[in-house]
Amino acid sequence: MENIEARVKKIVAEQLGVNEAEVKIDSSFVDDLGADSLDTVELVMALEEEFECEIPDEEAEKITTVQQAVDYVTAHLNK
Amino acid sequence: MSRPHAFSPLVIRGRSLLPIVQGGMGVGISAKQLAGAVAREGGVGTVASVDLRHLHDDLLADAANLEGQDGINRLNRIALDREVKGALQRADGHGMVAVNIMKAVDDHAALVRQACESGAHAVVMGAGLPLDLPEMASNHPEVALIPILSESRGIGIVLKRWMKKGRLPDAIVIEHPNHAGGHLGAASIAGVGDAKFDFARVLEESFELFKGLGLERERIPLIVAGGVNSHEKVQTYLQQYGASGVQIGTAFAVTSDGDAHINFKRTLAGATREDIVEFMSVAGLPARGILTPFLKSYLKREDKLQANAKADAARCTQALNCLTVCGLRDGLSKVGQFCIDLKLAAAFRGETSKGLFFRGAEPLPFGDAIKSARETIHYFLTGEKPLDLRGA
Repeated sequence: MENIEARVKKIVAEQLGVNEAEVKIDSSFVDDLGADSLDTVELVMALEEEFECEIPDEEAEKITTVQQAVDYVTAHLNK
Repeated sequence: MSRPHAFSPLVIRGRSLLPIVQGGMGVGISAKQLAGAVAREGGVGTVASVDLRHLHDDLLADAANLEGQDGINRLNRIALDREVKGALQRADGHGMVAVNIMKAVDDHAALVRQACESGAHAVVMGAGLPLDLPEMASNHPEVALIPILSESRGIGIVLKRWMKKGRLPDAIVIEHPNHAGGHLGAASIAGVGDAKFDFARVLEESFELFKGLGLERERIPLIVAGGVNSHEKVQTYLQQYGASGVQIGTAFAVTSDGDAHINFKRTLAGATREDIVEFMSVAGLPARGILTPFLKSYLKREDKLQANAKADAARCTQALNCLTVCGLRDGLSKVGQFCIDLKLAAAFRGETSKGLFFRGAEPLPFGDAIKSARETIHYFLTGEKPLDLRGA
Protein backbone atom coordinates (compact mmCIF):
# COMPACT_ATOMS: atom_id res chain seq x y z
CA MET A 1 0.00 0.00 0.00
CA GLU A 2 2.70 2.47 1.01
CA ASN A 3 4.64 1.39 -1.97
CA ILE A 4 1.73 2.19 -4.29
CA GLU A 5 1.27 5.56 -2.62
CA ALA A 6 4.93 6.43 -3.08
CA ARG A 7 4.87 5.36 -6.74
CA VAL A 8 1.69 7.36 -7.41
CA LYS A 9 3.16 10.45 -5.76
CA LYS A 10 6.32 10.15 -7.80
CA ILE A 11 4.34 9.99 -11.05
CA VAL A 12 2.14 12.90 -10.02
CA ALA A 13 5.21 14.99 -9.26
CA GLU A 14 6.83 14.09 -12.59
CA GLN A 15 3.74 14.66 -14.70
CA LEU A 16 2.69 17.93 -13.10
CA GLY A 17 6.23 19.26 -12.74
CA VAL A 18 5.96 19.84 -9.00
CA ASN A 19 8.26 18.93 -6.11
CA GLU A 20 7.47 15.48 -4.68
CA ALA A 21 7.28 17.02 -1.20
CA GLU A 22 4.35 19.16 -2.33
CA VAL A 23 2.33 16.10 -3.29
CA LYS A 24 0.21 15.12 -0.27
CA ILE A 25 -2.19 12.22 -0.11
CA ASP A 26 -5.18 14.62 -0.11
CA SER A 27 -3.80 16.93 -2.83
CA SER A 28 -6.24 17.77 -5.62
CA PHE A 29 -4.53 17.78 -9.01
CA VAL A 30 -6.34 20.90 -10.23
CA ASP A 31 -6.89 22.92 -7.05
CA ASP A 32 -3.65 22.17 -5.19
CA LEU A 33 -1.13 21.17 -7.84
CA GLY A 34 -2.11 23.48 -10.68
CA ALA A 35 -3.05 20.82 -13.21
CA ASP A 36 -5.31 21.57 -16.20
CA SER A 37 -7.72 19.11 -17.80
CA LEU A 38 -5.05 17.82 -20.20
CA ASP A 39 -2.57 17.28 -17.35
CA THR A 40 -5.04 15.10 -15.48
CA VAL A 41 -5.59 12.83 -18.50
CA GLU A 42 -1.85 12.57 -19.13
CA LEU A 43 -1.46 11.66 -15.49
CA VAL A 44 -3.99 8.86 -15.82
CA MET A 45 -2.16 7.61 -18.92
CA ALA A 46 1.12 7.62 -16.96
CA LEU A 47 -0.53 5.65 -14.13
CA GLU A 48 -1.76 3.11 -16.66
CA GLU A 49 1.80 2.63 -17.91
CA GLU A 50 3.36 2.44 -14.45
CA PHE A 51 0.85 -0.06 -13.08
CA GLU A 52 0.13 -1.85 -16.37
CA CYS A 53 -3.59 -1.41 -16.05
CA GLU A 54 -6.39 0.11 -18.16
CA ILE A 55 -8.36 2.94 -16.60
CA PRO A 56 -11.64 3.47 -18.51
CA ASP A 57 -12.49 7.09 -19.42
CA GLU A 58 -15.47 7.30 -17.08
CA GLU A 59 -13.31 6.08 -14.17
CA ALA A 60 -10.46 8.35 -15.18
CA GLU A 61 -12.74 11.39 -14.96
CA LYS A 62 -13.41 10.59 -11.31
CA ILE A 63 -9.74 10.53 -10.35
CA THR A 64 -9.07 14.09 -9.19
CA THR A 65 -6.91 13.63 -6.08
CA VAL A 66 -3.84 11.63 -5.11
CA GLN A 67 -5.98 9.59 -2.72
CA GLN A 68 -8.41 8.65 -5.49
CA ALA A 69 -5.54 7.58 -7.74
CA VAL A 70 -4.05 5.43 -4.97
CA ASP A 71 -7.48 3.90 -4.21
CA TYR A 72 -8.11 3.09 -7.86
CA VAL A 73 -4.74 1.47 -8.39
CA THR A 74 -4.96 -0.47 -5.10
CA ALA A 75 -8.43 -1.79 -5.92
CA HIS A 76 -7.49 -2.86 -9.40
CA LEU A 77 -4.11 -4.40 -8.65
CA ASN A 78 -5.65 -6.68 -6.02
CA LYS A 79 -8.07 -8.19 -8.48
CA MET B 1 -23.71 26.54 -56.19
CA SER B 2 -20.60 28.60 -55.65
CA ARG B 3 -18.23 29.38 -58.46
CA PRO B 4 -15.12 27.30 -59.01
CA HIS B 5 -12.40 28.04 -56.50
CA ALA B 6 -8.75 27.23 -56.04
CA PHE B 7 -8.95 24.98 -52.98
CA SER B 8 -8.84 21.22 -52.64
CA PRO B 9 -12.01 19.62 -51.32
CA LEU B 10 -12.33 18.77 -47.64
CA VAL B 11 -12.95 15.02 -47.54
CA ILE B 12 -14.65 13.64 -44.43
CA ARG B 13 -15.70 10.01 -44.33
CA GLY B 14 -15.80 9.78 -48.10
CA ARG B 15 -17.80 12.98 -48.61
CA SER B 16 -16.15 15.57 -50.81
CA LEU B 17 -16.99 18.99 -49.38
CA LEU B 18 -16.17 22.66 -49.71
CA PRO B 19 -13.37 23.40 -47.21
CA ILE B 20 -15.81 25.62 -45.31
CA VAL B 21 -17.26 24.47 -41.99
CA GLN B 22 -19.91 26.51 -40.21
CA GLY B 23 -19.21 26.28 -36.49
CA GLY B 24 -21.92 25.21 -34.06
CA MET B 25 -23.39 28.18 -32.18
CA GLY B 26 -25.86 27.85 -29.35
CA VAL B 27 -28.44 28.50 -28.13
CA GLY B 28 -30.27 28.29 -31.43
CA ILE B 29 -27.93 30.50 -33.45
CA SER B 30 -27.05 27.65 -35.82
CA ALA B 31 -30.04 25.35 -36.17
CA LYS B 32 -31.79 23.93 -39.22
CA GLN B 33 -31.91 27.12 -41.31
CA LEU B 34 -28.23 28.00 -41.14
CA ALA B 35 -26.83 24.46 -41.05
CA GLY B 36 -29.10 23.46 -43.93
CA ALA B 37 -28.12 26.51 -45.99
CA VAL B 38 -24.38 25.89 -45.58
CA ALA B 39 -24.70 22.18 -46.34
CA ARG B 40 -26.80 22.96 -49.41
CA GLU B 41 -23.88 24.94 -50.81
CA GLY B 42 -21.64 21.91 -50.28
CA GLY B 43 -19.98 22.85 -46.99
CA VAL B 44 -20.39 21.48 -43.47
CA GLY B 45 -23.43 22.97 -41.70
CA THR B 46 -23.52 22.44 -37.95
CA VAL B 47 -26.58 22.37 -35.70
CA ALA B 48 -25.71 23.42 -32.14
CA SER B 49 -27.54 20.86 -30.00
CA VAL B 50 -27.75 22.78 -26.74
CA ASP B 51 -31.18 23.69 -25.34
CA LEU B 52 -32.97 23.61 -28.69
CA ARG B 53 -36.41 23.50 -27.05
CA HIS B 54 -36.23 27.31 -27.09
CA LEU B 55 -36.87 27.17 -30.85
CA HIS B 56 -40.19 25.34 -30.56
CA ASP B 57 -43.21 26.96 -28.95
CA ASP B 58 -45.00 23.68 -28.36
CA LEU B 59 -41.98 22.28 -26.50
CA LEU B 60 -41.65 25.45 -24.42
CA ALA B 61 -45.32 25.10 -23.48
CA ASP B 62 -44.68 21.49 -22.46
CA ALA B 63 -41.61 22.55 -20.48
CA ALA B 64 -43.71 24.96 -18.43
CA ASN B 65 -45.75 22.01 -17.15
CA LEU B 66 -42.78 19.79 -16.44
CA GLU B 67 -40.67 19.41 -13.37
CA GLY B 68 -37.15 18.13 -13.32
CA GLN B 69 -34.34 17.82 -15.74
CA ASP B 70 -35.27 14.48 -17.35
CA GLY B 71 -38.37 15.95 -18.92
CA ILE B 72 -36.51 19.00 -20.20
CA ASN B 73 -33.69 16.87 -21.57
CA ARG B 74 -36.30 14.84 -23.44
CA LEU B 75 -37.80 18.01 -24.96
CA ASN B 76 -34.35 19.17 -26.03
CA ARG B 77 -33.79 15.85 -27.79
CA ILE B 78 -37.14 16.10 -29.57
CA ALA B 79 -36.09 19.57 -30.71
CA LEU B 80 -32.69 18.27 -31.86
CA ASP B 81 -34.41 15.57 -33.91
CA ARG B 82 -36.57 18.22 -35.62
CA GLU B 83 -33.62 20.51 -36.31
CA VAL B 84 -31.37 17.78 -37.73
CA LYS B 85 -34.12 16.48 -39.99
CA GLY B 86 -34.98 20.05 -41.04
CA ALA B 87 -31.33 20.77 -41.87
CA LEU B 88 -31.02 17.55 -43.88
CA GLN B 89 -34.15 18.44 -45.81
CA ARG B 90 -32.84 21.91 -46.55
CA ALA B 91 -29.44 20.51 -47.59
CA ASP B 92 -31.23 18.36 -50.17
CA GLY B 93 -28.47 15.78 -50.36
CA HIS B 94 -25.60 18.28 -50.59
CA GLY B 95 -22.71 18.85 -48.22
CA MET B 96 -22.68 17.55 -44.66
CA VAL B 97 -24.95 18.15 -41.68
CA ALA B 98 -23.09 17.96 -38.37
CA VAL B 99 -24.27 18.35 -34.78
CA ASN B 100 -22.16 20.11 -32.17
CA ILE B 101 -22.48 18.63 -28.69
CA MET B 102 -20.57 20.08 -25.77
CA LYS B 103 -18.96 17.60 -23.42
CA ALA B 104 -19.74 20.02 -20.58
CA VAL B 105 -23.49 19.53 -21.13
CA ASP B 106 -24.81 16.97 -18.68
CA ASP B 107 -26.99 15.15 -21.24
CA HIS B 108 -24.21 14.95 -23.86
CA ALA B 109 -24.22 11.18 -24.28
CA ALA B 110 -27.96 11.05 -24.98
CA LEU B 111 -27.61 14.00 -27.37
CA VAL B 112 -24.91 12.12 -29.31
CA ARG B 113 -27.21 9.13 -29.65
CA GLN B 114 -30.11 11.34 -30.72
CA ALA B 115 -27.98 13.15 -33.33
CA CYS B 116 -26.92 9.79 -34.82
CA GLU B 117 -30.47 8.41 -34.79
CA SER B 118 -31.81 11.57 -36.43
CA GLY B 119 -29.45 11.09 -39.35
CA ALA B 120 -26.66 13.61 -38.71
CA HIS B 121 -23.59 12.94 -40.82
CA ALA B 122 -21.15 14.01 -38.11
CA VAL B 123 -20.91 14.71 -34.39
CA VAL B 124 -18.56 17.50 -33.33
CA MET B 125 -17.58 17.67 -29.67
CA GLY B 126 -15.70 20.32 -27.70
CA ALA B 127 -16.02 22.18 -24.37
CA GLY B 128 -14.22 19.34 -22.63
CA LEU B 129 -12.14 16.38 -23.77
CA PRO B 130 -14.25 14.02 -25.90
CA LEU B 131 -12.40 10.90 -24.76
CA ASP B 132 -15.46 8.63 -24.70
CA LEU B 133 -17.17 9.93 -27.86
CA PRO B 134 -16.41 6.69 -29.79
CA GLU B 135 -18.38 4.65 -27.24
CA MET B 136 -21.32 7.06 -27.29
CA ALA B 137 -21.59 6.74 -31.08
CA SER B 138 -20.62 3.08 -31.31
CA ASN B 139 -23.98 1.98 -32.76
CA HIS B 140 -23.52 4.36 -35.68
CA PRO B 141 -20.16 3.71 -37.29
CA GLU B 142 -21.28 5.68 -40.36
CA VAL B 143 -21.31 8.95 -38.40
CA ALA B 144 -18.11 10.99 -38.57
CA LEU B 145 -16.61 11.96 -35.20
CA ILE B 146 -14.88 15.32 -34.96
CA PRO B 147 -13.27 16.56 -31.72
CA ILE B 148 -12.59 20.25 -31.11
CA LEU B 149 -9.22 20.90 -29.49
CA SER B 150 -6.91 23.86 -29.14
CA GLU B 151 -3.36 22.60 -28.69
CA SER B 152 -1.36 19.68 -30.03
CA ARG B 153 -1.07 18.16 -26.55
CA GLY B 154 -4.85 17.70 -26.48
CA ILE B 155 -4.80 16.27 -30.01
CA GLY B 156 -2.13 13.77 -28.92
CA ILE B 157 -4.17 12.68 -25.89
CA VAL B 158 -7.37 12.16 -27.91
CA LEU B 159 -5.51 10.28 -30.66
CA LYS B 160 -3.79 7.93 -28.21
CA ARG B 161 -6.96 7.22 -26.20
CA TRP B 162 -9.08 6.73 -29.34
CA MET B 163 -6.50 4.52 -31.09
CA LYS B 164 -6.65 2.12 -28.14
CA LYS B 165 -10.35 1.72 -28.99
CA GLY B 166 -9.60 1.27 -32.67
CA ARG B 167 -11.08 4.58 -33.78
CA LEU B 168 -9.56 7.70 -35.32
CA PRO B 169 -11.18 11.13 -35.49
CA ASP B 170 -12.63 11.76 -38.97
CA ALA B 171 -11.40 15.35 -38.73
CA ILE B 172 -10.20 17.63 -35.93
CA VAL B 173 -11.23 21.23 -35.39
CA ILE B 174 -8.41 23.36 -33.97
CA GLU B 175 -9.94 26.31 -32.14
CA HIS B 176 -7.82 29.37 -31.31
CA PRO B 177 -8.92 30.80 -27.94
CA ASN B 178 -7.61 34.26 -28.82
CA HIS B 179 -9.91 34.68 -31.82
CA ALA B 180 -12.94 32.40 -31.51
CA GLY B 181 -16.32 33.25 -30.01
CA GLY B 182 -18.24 31.59 -27.20
CA HIS B 183 -16.44 29.06 -25.01
CA LEU B 184 -12.67 29.01 -25.44
CA GLY B 185 -10.21 26.14 -25.10
CA ALA B 186 -7.82 27.77 -22.60
CA ALA B 187 -7.70 27.19 -18.85
CA SER B 188 -7.85 30.92 -18.02
CA ILE B 189 -8.53 34.31 -19.60
CA ALA B 190 -4.87 35.24 -19.25
CA GLY B 191 -3.89 32.15 -21.21
CA VAL B 192 -5.93 32.68 -24.39
CA GLY B 193 -3.05 34.27 -26.31
CA ASP B 194 -0.46 31.59 -25.53
CA ALA B 195 1.86 30.75 -28.45
CA LYS B 196 0.97 27.07 -28.08
CA PHE B 197 -2.38 27.90 -29.75
CA ASP B 198 -0.91 29.46 -32.92
CA PHE B 199 -2.38 27.67 -35.93
CA ALA B 200 0.96 27.21 -37.71
CA ARG B 201 2.47 25.66 -34.60
CA VAL B 202 -0.49 23.40 -33.76
CA LEU B 203 -0.64 22.14 -37.37
CA GLU B 204 3.10 21.49 -37.51
CA GLU B 205 3.10 19.70 -34.16
CA SER B 206 0.03 17.68 -35.18
CA PHE B 207 1.71 16.51 -38.40
CA GLU B 208 4.74 15.46 -36.31
CA LEU B 209 2.41 13.65 -33.93
CA PHE B 210 0.77 11.81 -36.83
CA LYS B 211 4.21 10.72 -38.03
CA GLY B 212 5.11 9.43 -34.57
CA LEU B 213 1.89 7.44 -34.40
CA GLY B 214 2.36 5.99 -37.88
CA LEU B 215 -0.48 7.99 -39.45
CA GLU B 216 -0.20 9.59 -42.89
CA ARG B 217 -0.17 13.39 -42.90
CA GLU B 218 -3.45 13.56 -44.83
CA ARG B 219 -5.17 10.84 -42.78
CA ILE B 220 -7.10 13.20 -40.49
CA PRO B 221 -8.23 16.54 -41.98
CA LEU B 222 -7.40 19.46 -39.70
CA ILE B 223 -9.82 22.37 -39.66
CA VAL B 224 -8.76 25.69 -38.14
CA ALA B 225 -11.30 27.82 -36.28
CA GLY B 226 -11.24 31.29 -34.78
CA GLY B 227 -10.88 34.68 -36.45
CA VAL B 228 -11.36 33.44 -40.01
CA ASN B 229 -12.81 36.60 -41.55
CA SER B 230 -11.21 36.97 -44.99
CA HIS B 231 -10.50 35.09 -48.20
CA GLU B 232 -6.80 35.85 -47.67
CA LYS B 233 -6.78 34.05 -44.32
CA VAL B 234 -8.47 31.04 -45.92
CA GLN B 235 -5.71 31.02 -48.55
CA THR B 236 -2.98 31.21 -45.92
CA TYR B 237 -4.39 28.48 -43.70
CA LEU B 238 -5.21 26.05 -46.51
CA GLN B 239 -2.35 26.66 -48.90
CA GLN B 240 0.52 27.61 -46.59
CA TYR B 241 -0.20 26.03 -43.22
CA GLY B 242 -1.60 22.74 -44.54
CA ALA B 243 -5.07 22.88 -42.99
CA SER B 244 -7.80 21.00 -44.88
CA GLY B 245 -10.62 23.35 -43.95
CA VAL B 246 -11.61 26.45 -42.03
CA GLN B 247 -14.40 26.74 -39.50
CA ILE B 248 -16.30 30.02 -39.43
CA GLY B 249 -18.78 31.08 -36.76
CA THR B 250 -19.67 34.76 -36.34
CA ALA B 251 -19.68 35.54 -40.09
CA PHE B 252 -22.36 32.85 -40.53
CA ALA B 253 -24.33 33.76 -37.38
CA VAL B 254 -25.16 37.16 -38.89
CA THR B 255 -26.28 35.87 -42.31
CA SER B 256 -29.90 36.10 -43.41
CA ASP B 257 -29.94 32.29 -43.06
CA GLY B 258 -28.93 32.42 -39.38
CA ASP B 259 -31.63 31.03 -37.08
CA ALA B 260 -31.50 33.83 -34.46
CA HIS B 261 -33.59 37.01 -34.22
CA ILE B 262 -32.50 39.95 -36.40
CA ASN B 263 -31.57 41.91 -33.23
CA PHE B 264 -29.06 39.18 -32.41
CA LYS B 265 -27.46 39.54 -35.84
CA ARG B 266 -27.40 43.34 -35.68
CA THR B 267 -25.84 43.24 -32.21
CA LEU B 268 -23.05 40.96 -33.45
CA ALA B 269 -22.52 42.80 -36.74
CA GLY B 270 -22.54 46.21 -35.07
CA ALA B 271 -20.04 45.38 -32.30
CA THR B 272 -16.62 47.03 -32.40
CA ARG B 273 -13.41 45.64 -30.94
CA GLU B 274 -13.88 47.68 -27.75
CA ASP B 275 -17.26 46.00 -27.22
CA ILE B 276 -15.82 42.48 -27.25
CA VAL B 277 -14.55 40.99 -23.99
CA GLU B 278 -13.40 37.77 -22.39
CA PHE B 279 -14.93 36.58 -19.13
CA MET B 280 -15.31 33.32 -17.19
CA SER B 281 -18.39 31.32 -18.12
CA VAL B 282 -20.39 29.25 -15.65
CA ALA B 283 -19.09 26.21 -17.54
CA GLY B 284 -15.63 26.86 -16.07
CA LEU B 285 -14.05 27.98 -19.35
CA PRO B 286 -13.19 31.47 -20.54
CA ALA B 287 -15.67 32.81 -23.09
CA ARG B 288 -15.83 35.75 -25.50
CA GLY B 289 -18.86 37.93 -26.03
CA ILE B 290 -20.18 41.44 -26.44
CA LEU B 291 -20.48 44.02 -23.65
CA THR B 292 -24.24 44.33 -23.93
CA PRO B 293 -26.16 45.74 -20.91
CA PHE B 294 -26.43 42.36 -19.18
CA LEU B 295 -22.74 41.51 -19.48
CA LYS B 296 -21.67 45.01 -18.48
CA SER B 297 -23.73 44.96 -15.32
CA TYR B 298 -22.79 41.35 -14.53
CA LEU B 299 -19.07 42.07 -14.83
CA LYS B 300 -19.44 45.11 -12.58
CA ARG B 301 -20.89 42.84 -9.88
CA GLU B 302 -18.86 39.74 -10.67
CA ASP B 303 -16.50 40.04 -7.67
CA LYS B 304 -19.39 40.31 -5.25
CA LEU B 305 -21.27 37.43 -6.83
CA GLN B 306 -18.18 35.23 -6.81
CA ALA B 307 -17.49 36.07 -3.16
CA ASN B 308 -21.04 34.94 -2.48
CA ALA B 309 -20.75 31.69 -4.43
CA LYS B 310 -22.32 28.76 -2.64
CA ALA B 311 -23.09 25.19 -3.69
CA ASP B 312 -26.87 25.17 -3.64
CA ALA B 313 -29.15 23.18 -5.93
CA ALA B 314 -31.80 25.90 -5.57
CA ARG B 315 -29.53 28.33 -7.42
CA CYS B 316 -30.35 26.41 -10.59
CA THR B 317 -33.67 28.26 -10.70
CA GLN B 318 -34.73 26.52 -13.91
CA ALA B 319 -34.00 23.12 -12.27
CA LEU B 320 -32.43 22.27 -15.61
CA ASN B 321 -29.02 21.15 -14.40
CA CYS B 322 -27.90 21.64 -17.99
CA LEU B 323 -24.18 21.53 -17.19
CA THR B 324 -22.26 18.72 -15.49
CA VAL B 325 -20.31 21.37 -13.60
CA CYS B 326 -21.96 24.78 -13.16
CA GLY B 327 -20.27 27.70 -11.37
CA LEU B 328 -23.58 29.11 -10.18
CA ARG B 329 -25.18 25.91 -8.87
CA ASP B 330 -21.95 24.34 -7.59
CA GLY B 331 -20.65 27.50 -5.91
CA LEU B 332 -17.36 27.75 -7.83
CA SER B 333 -16.01 31.15 -6.89
CA LYS B 334 -13.47 31.40 -9.72
CA VAL B 335 -15.96 31.06 -12.57
CA GLY B 336 -19.19 32.60 -13.85
CA GLN B 337 -22.22 33.21 -11.63
CA PHE B 338 -25.18 33.57 -14.00
CA CYS B 339 -27.70 31.23 -15.61
CA ILE B 340 -26.32 30.63 -19.08
CA ASP B 341 -29.49 28.98 -20.42
CA LEU B 342 -31.64 32.03 -19.59
CA LYS B 343 -29.09 34.47 -20.98
CA LEU B 344 -28.35 32.68 -24.25
CA ALA B 345 -32.04 32.04 -24.90
CA ALA B 346 -32.74 35.76 -24.40
CA ALA B 347 -30.02 36.59 -26.95
CA PHE B 348 -31.52 34.13 -29.43
CA ARG B 349 -34.87 35.94 -29.07
CA GLY B 350 -33.15 39.26 -29.75
CA GLU B 351 -33.52 40.69 -26.23
CA THR B 352 -30.55 43.01 -26.46
CA SER B 353 -30.63 44.20 -22.87
CA LYS B 354 -31.06 40.81 -21.19
CA GLY B 355 -29.17 38.41 -23.43
CA LEU B 356 -25.62 37.11 -23.53
CA PHE B 357 -24.17 37.55 -27.02
CA PHE B 358 -21.22 35.32 -27.87
CA ARG B 359 -19.03 36.58 -30.69
CA GLY B 360 -15.56 36.05 -32.17
CA ALA B 361 -12.90 38.73 -31.74
CA GLU B 362 -12.40 39.90 -35.33
CA PRO B 363 -14.28 42.35 -37.59
CA LEU B 364 -16.70 40.81 -40.08
CA PRO B 365 -15.95 40.55 -43.82
CA PHE B 366 -19.09 42.45 -44.83
CA GLY B 367 -18.99 44.97 -41.97
CA ASP B 368 -22.47 45.36 -40.53
CA ALA B 369 -24.21 44.18 -43.71
CA ILE B 370 -26.42 41.08 -43.45
CA LYS B 371 -25.98 38.80 -46.47
CA SER B 372 -26.81 35.17 -47.22
CA ALA B 373 -24.80 32.10 -46.29
CA ARG B 374 -24.27 31.51 -50.00
CA GLU B 375 -22.71 34.96 -50.53
CA THR B 376 -20.58 34.47 -47.42
CA ILE B 377 -19.23 31.13 -48.65
CA HIS B 378 -18.63 32.57 -52.11
CA TYR B 379 -16.56 35.40 -50.61
CA PHE B 380 -14.42 33.11 -48.45
CA LEU B 381 -13.68 30.85 -51.41
CA THR B 382 -13.09 33.48 -54.10
CA GLY B 383 -12.50 36.85 -52.44
CA GLU B 384 -15.48 38.33 -54.32
CA LYS B 385 -17.89 40.32 -52.17
CA PRO B 386 -21.57 40.85 -53.05
CA LEU B 387 -21.96 43.50 -55.79
CA ASP B 388 -23.28 46.26 -53.51
CA LEU B 389 -20.30 45.91 -51.16
CA ARG B 390 -17.54 45.93 -53.76
CA GLY B 391 -15.16 48.83 -53.47
CA ALA B 392 -16.53 49.48 -50.01
